[in-house]
Amino acid sequence: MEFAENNRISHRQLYRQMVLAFLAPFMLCLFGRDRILGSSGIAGTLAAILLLLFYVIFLIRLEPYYSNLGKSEGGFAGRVFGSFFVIYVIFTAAYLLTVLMKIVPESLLEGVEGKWIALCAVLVCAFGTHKGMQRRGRIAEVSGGLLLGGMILMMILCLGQSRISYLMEMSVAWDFTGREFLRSTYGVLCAFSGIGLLPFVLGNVEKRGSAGKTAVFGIVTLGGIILGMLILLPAVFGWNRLLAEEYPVIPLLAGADLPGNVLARFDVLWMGFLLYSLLFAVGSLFHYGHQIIRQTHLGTGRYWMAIVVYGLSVLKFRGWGIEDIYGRYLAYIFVPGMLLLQVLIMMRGKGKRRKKTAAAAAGISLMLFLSGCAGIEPEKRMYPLALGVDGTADSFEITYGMPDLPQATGQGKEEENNQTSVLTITGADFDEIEEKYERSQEKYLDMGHLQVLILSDRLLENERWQVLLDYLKEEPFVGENVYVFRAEDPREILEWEGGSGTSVGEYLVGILENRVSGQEKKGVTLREVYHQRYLTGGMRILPKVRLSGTELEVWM
Amino acid sequence: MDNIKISKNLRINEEYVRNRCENCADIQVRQMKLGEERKVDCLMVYIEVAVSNMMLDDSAIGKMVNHFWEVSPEKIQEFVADNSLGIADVKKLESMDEVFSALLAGNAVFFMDGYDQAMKISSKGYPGMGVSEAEAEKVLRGSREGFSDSVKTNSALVRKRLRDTRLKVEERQIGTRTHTMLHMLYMEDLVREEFLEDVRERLDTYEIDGILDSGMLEQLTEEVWYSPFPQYQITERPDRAAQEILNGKIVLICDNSPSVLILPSSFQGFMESSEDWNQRFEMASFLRVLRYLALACATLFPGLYLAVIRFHTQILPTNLILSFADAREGVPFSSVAELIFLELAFELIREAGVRVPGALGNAIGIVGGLIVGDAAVSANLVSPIVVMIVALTALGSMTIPNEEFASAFRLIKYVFLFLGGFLGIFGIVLGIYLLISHLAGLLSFGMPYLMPFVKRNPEHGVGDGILRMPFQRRWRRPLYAKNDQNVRLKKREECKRN
Repeated sequence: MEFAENNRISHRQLYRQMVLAFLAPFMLCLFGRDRILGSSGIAGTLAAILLLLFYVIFLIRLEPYYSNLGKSEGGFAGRVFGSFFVIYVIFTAAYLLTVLMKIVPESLLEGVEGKWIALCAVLVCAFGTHKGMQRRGRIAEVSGGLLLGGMILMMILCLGQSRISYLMEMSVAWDFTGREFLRSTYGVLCAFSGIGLLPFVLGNVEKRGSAGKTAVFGIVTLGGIILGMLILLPAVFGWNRLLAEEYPVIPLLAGADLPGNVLARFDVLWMGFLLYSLLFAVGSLFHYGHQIIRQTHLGTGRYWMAIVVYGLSVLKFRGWGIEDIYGRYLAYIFVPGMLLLQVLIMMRGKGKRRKKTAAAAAGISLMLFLSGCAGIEPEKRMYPLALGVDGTADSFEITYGMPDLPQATGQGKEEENNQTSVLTITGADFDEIEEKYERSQEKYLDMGHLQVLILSDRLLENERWQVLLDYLKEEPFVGENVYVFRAEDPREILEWEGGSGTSVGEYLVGILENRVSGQEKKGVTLREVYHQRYLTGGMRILPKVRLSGTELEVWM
Repeated sequence: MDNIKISKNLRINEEYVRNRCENCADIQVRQMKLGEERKVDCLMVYIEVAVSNMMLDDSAIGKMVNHFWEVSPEKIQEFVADNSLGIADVKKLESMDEVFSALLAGNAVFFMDGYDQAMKISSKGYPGMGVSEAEAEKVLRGSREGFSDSVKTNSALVRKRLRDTRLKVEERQIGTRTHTMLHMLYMEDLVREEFLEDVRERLDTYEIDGILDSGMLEQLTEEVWYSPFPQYQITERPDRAAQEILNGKIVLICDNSPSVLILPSSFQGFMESSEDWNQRFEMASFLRVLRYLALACATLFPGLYLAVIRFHTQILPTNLILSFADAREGVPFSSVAELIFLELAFELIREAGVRVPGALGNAIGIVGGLIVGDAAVSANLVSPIVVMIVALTALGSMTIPNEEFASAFRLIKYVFLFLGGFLGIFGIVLGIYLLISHLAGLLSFGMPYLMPFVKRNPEHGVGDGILRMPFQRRWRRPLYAKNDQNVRLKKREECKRN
């Protein structure tokens, strides 16, 4: 058939495959602690993109030799070459799975073990990867544009959270050095190492003479996004916090306050986009792994490749996992080795193109659902809207301010009694407080709707607030747009009942936000508190809440 | 069966026919003597009910018999040989296989002593429903005619709309026992040869005892048997079939089925309604976008609801999640069980509504929906919000124009329900990835199922995307048609110039 059976992909499909497969890995693995940052990062990225543009031309010229490595390099050499790439594919897929195993339980699914997440992902990604190049092209063509558009839109929406003053910290704190520049350049080149598989793909691209332009366009798009993130991240988080975060991209939208009020938070959608791209990347690695195995006559990777990838991602040898060695493998073995081999191939014989097919499949097992993955019903959760924290040198007291359900939802019946909406727990540290909560309360503590944090003056004076911020940082569902106040006695504030049915959390937010344009009060958000802490180690000046008779007042 | 030639000896023919029709009470074998002096032995074989009364002057058989009463015996054979009876619908048959094929198709067969050919005389054929309105594809604006059960009537309904000899109707039979008649309709100069070859090849791939409906034919010849998605477009509307033939597609009409198969099919084709082409383009485009939203709603809504309330409550505004929590107070089941319970209850109502005859079916739908839903909420079996979720999901599913396509998403909805309920957004993303992977791998006669979202026609003026382009901007045919026939609209001046 003219359209489907020729196993060719269009330039659009090639471009979208590149974007879809690289986007999430870049977003998650390029930025943050000990990674590519600052002006050196920006310069390094620009330099790397420039080098990659030349490299693509080189790769296009290599394509005929890749198409039948067995013939062009001889049986043994072809197998060695193939194995070299297959190892890369397996290591990269395993590494991406470890990232998935880490971020999903931490940011989306509490209580589900990473190994189950990885198993689900491997099964789904390995599904039908042997079914030809066009299928992957079509997946990318259908979803690549939507994903790219969605992520760029979210980045644009994120601009509202950025501050020029935060961005300026970058230029002050981060000197441009040649060493950092080279490190960043090489880092970006290593990140783009997947481009080295391009010659395996090019044989299946329509009008491959001009496919180089598409590849270049893909690199430029991805490079543009990297540059955009290198500017956006410090502008949103501030420089020092960025240096401390492992995956700063994840909380990027945690503080976003977007128009419309249809959804309170958008970070889950953002995570959804990242996960889709990550799954596509792993699926692509499986697919190209199969192709390489077939082309180099190494047999079939249909089942064992998925098993090996999963095994590598979950197993540790003497405490060392794939995440500990992958960076070094990429920088010291794969990238130099690949360049060396490619130069050698270029200098040697010729080969014939050959059609590629791949083989592998896996199914999804519903047993996964029996693996303990279970959510908690909404009525079995407690939603503190306000949190009051007091602390002495040897103990903390947390007061949770809950909304009164019947009044909050308007579904209350007359005969229902108003429940106590404040819960106070004291403990030596937050772990003990959590343990006490688990022992005494029937409902799950859902901090995802926290609106207000009130710190006691005493806590602020004795510097114990640092411990509190560490604790909140570990709570993935606490938004960073939570308003932070100070009060003499937070418990007294939270027990206030003068809001005629409105909880203290909503009341305080209302005082700040329910004003006409120009009269809004500028509250301090948790993100700003984090920023100040990472910047100077100190606490921002917080608005004060106090009871004046029966009225609650906020002093800015 | 051996292909036995018709003998000149009527007795041999009669014996053979009687042997084959032994114990077939519905097949009548009538001897008669015709000609002026009643000297010519003849035999008429036909199926009762399927053939008109032989004495009626307005039937072909009646006319023929009446005519033979008046002709001299010597002239009868001459008349027959020259086909100078002046009677329409008469065809000469040379073998017994042809005789039985014609007979079982509902025609009368006439044998004459001394003549080694038989005559097929068409009659009213088997009883069947006439042309009626297409129940499954109703439109506000457009033809009310729908296909019937008769393959010939259905072909005629298409021919009525495409009065062009380039419309070809290939006839073939399938089923070693049912001998079901198939008509393959296509526009000779538009259809791609490779499609035609592929269809013919697939129809010849299997030998089956019987095909009783186009649905069986569809499942027998589709490429991916395990996919829940239909790989043939189905229509009950002749205008839709004609429209698709003009796009370069092939239409397969199966006898005894009002559902006609269109191939190749695509995702977008299932989302189109026949009415789209009759309405103004703005409204048609709006409705198409709405249908896509409905599709997403029908598939993802329950799963997303579960993902959000069980894992990601922070997405929703606080008052909304508190409202959900309050509504669920006292419900004894988990939200997954609650949703499955109500979804299955709705499926029961839908199934009962389809099976129960006529107006009672509508009543069951309304009574079931209102009373069961209300009672379930009152009894605290489910929360009101879940009733709303199920209702919106059902509405979304009903908005999809093609029932089979909608059914596929109805099934997939349960997968998403489990994934969202047990793995949250991660599960939903896994499901979407899996769904897109599956759809991307589907082909319909070599054409990607996801056309035109993949493999777009690079030239402008096709207008085959989600939005319906105005007619004046839609001057090219989709990729299904031959490349040299891709222009469907041009101005008269251009025609003259060319």
